[in-house]
Amino acid sequence: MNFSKKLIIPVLGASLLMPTMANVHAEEMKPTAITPAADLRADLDYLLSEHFTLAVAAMTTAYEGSKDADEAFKALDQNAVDMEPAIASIYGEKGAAEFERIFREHNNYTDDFVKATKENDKAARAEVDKEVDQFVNEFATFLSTATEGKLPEAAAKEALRIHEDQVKETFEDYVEGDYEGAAKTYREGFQHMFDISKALSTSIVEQMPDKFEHTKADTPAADLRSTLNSLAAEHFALATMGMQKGFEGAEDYDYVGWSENTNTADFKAAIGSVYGDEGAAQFEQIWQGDHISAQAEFVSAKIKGDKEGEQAAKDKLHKFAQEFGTFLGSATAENLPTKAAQDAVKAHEDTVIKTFEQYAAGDYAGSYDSYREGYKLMFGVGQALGDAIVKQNRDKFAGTAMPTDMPKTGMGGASEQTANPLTIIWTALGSLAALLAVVVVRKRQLNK
Amino acid sequence: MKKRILFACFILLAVLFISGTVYVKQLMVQASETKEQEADQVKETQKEHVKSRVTLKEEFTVLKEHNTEKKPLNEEFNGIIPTNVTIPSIDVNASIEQVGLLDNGEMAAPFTEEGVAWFEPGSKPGVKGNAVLAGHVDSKTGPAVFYHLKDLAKGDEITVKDKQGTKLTFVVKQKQSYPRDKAPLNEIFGYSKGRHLNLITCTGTFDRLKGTHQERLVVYAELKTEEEKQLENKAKPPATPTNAKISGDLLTWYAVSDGNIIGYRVYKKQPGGTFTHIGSISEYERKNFVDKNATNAHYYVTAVNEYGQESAPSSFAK
Repeated sequence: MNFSKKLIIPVLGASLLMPTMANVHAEEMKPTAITPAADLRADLDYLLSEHFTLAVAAMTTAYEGSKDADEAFKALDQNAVDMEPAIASIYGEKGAAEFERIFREHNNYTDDFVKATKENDKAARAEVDKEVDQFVNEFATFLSTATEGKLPEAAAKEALRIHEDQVKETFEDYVEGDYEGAAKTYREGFQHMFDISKALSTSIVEQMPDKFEHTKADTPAADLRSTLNSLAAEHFALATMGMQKGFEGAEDYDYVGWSENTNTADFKAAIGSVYGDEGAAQFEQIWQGDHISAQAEFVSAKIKGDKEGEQAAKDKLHKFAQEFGTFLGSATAENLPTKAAQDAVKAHEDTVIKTFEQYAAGDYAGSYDSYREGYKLMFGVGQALGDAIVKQNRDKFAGTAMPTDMPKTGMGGASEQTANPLTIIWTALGSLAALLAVVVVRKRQLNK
Repeated sequence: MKKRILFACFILLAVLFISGTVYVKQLMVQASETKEQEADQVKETQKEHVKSRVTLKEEFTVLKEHNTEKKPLNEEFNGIIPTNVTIPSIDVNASIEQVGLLDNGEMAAPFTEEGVAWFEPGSKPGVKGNAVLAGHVDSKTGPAVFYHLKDLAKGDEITVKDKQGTKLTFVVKQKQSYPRDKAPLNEIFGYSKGRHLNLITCTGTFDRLKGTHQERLVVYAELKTEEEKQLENKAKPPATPTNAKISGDLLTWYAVSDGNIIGYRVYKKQPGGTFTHIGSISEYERKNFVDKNATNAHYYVTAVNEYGQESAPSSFAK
């Protein structure tokens, strides 16, 4: 697990602790999906939604007594540990320690709840419910206090309550064999994490406007980035989960496929909202045959020990990376360069393959490491693709052109700068520097 | 004269014209006939379904561990691999192991005193013939699983189950003891018209010199009449897959969960309106099919069960 920790901290550091870059963004006139506030939201999107996928994985594998159950729980715990630097960068070490104490502890309830369910011990289940209630209250108070009430305690409580209910509901549906219900709640529960992230990030940004250079976490551009992150990450979570279930011949294998199909439909709709019906149709055409279906073919070949079939499926996936990269490059008019897109998609497919191959070989620790690596990669999609789309369609995202919309708590009155020619030159220079920074960041992201 | 010549010429021309027309028409009819034949041949090849070129086994892969449903009792029933036997009247509930022949030609005995052995090279319980189970009567220290076999009476029931929970009930018809070397092997192990289950254990005095009891007790049982009757029923064809849908080039549908489905067939509408079978997906695979030429195409999907029975077509995906 050291491996993933190493990977994550620099990224959070880059997005949360780089005041110079933040300054540049503040001066930027043109809309972008990459601002300090949007970065914060993306980081929270990533860690919170990953928490959800791992919580469900930890519970269902523990319930089944699967061989990977321990590793699933370790990954869940590591995810909580990885949140600490993000919190520390905002609220200091003390705040981070308090966060960890409350949040990390609540992961243990998943294990207790599974045990109680397995043993059909009603008293024990009620006990866990009580502990979860306490967690919701305690954590809501923590968040509300930390954000100085910007995230109201009641709102925090409600958001957390819903999350806990969704995890529990997904698990209970699963236990009852209502796999369709479990799959549906899983999607909703997953999505809810992005709502929490939006509420939390906007509250933090509102609380510390200077730290985030007066950028906002809920601009249309940041929304797009978050939407793409959620679709891409959900795709990865479902793909890897589906492949494992397919390999095990699990009873709920088909239902993961249903969710994948709805994820595809949602992704298509998102693409359609930017590139119209034709773009959406093209996306759908490329996305499925050599990708969704090929991933399943890879599993089928693995089950049958059909090496040729495995290679054929891998070839399809790599062909998909080429085609999809080309599609993204041309759709964004090279705002996302084709080559960079192809490399990024290939890196994604490689983590999907690796996660599955390690799982199939019984290397569960390796498999969860690869899962976490691959999951994180998906948040580069929102960053790179989202920003390319914003840059290509500035008018659509014009609402974010300038941070004229000061926070409600702001001092106001700083609106005279436009008349000053020096400011204009400054701004132009700033834009250029920002663009440069974006290119560098994206390159680095894609090179990884 | 001139007139006549002209007339004759006219007649000649007319005849030539008419015969020419008839001839050309004939030629055209012939040509169109060959064309039609050719077209028919093309249609014939198009119509050749994928399934007609392969066996059911080649078409679908059945993963053993997926085959977890009980087997219905119908005319396709072909016996069970027994894993458990219960005889309520003498309080027996034992797991079953498979045994074969020893080097000397004897049927091997169960490995434990609690276990019952099924003679695997012989008949499966439920098929026409004699399925044979053997159990020890005692050990050096006390009674074993079939100690009370001698107490069975005509009409007592014996139940055997397989791993999937398929249950067969046999009814005791008679019991008979034979000297160890005089048992009618053909009657006990051989073919029979009825569906029999025979239980063997030792009886008589223990021959210390030979290391075995002197006699063998055989309990003859026959499949219960109601179950025998069920075996005459026609097998139920599978339910129809639902939610067939084409998005882009990916056809998806919802699986049929019951009825020992081994896979699905995908049909596509051809010019002329017939649907031909263009591909098969096994039960364990993702329920989808990629067709690169999906523009304006129509499809339906059917489910196929282990007997090769096919469901009615799903609603069209288009």
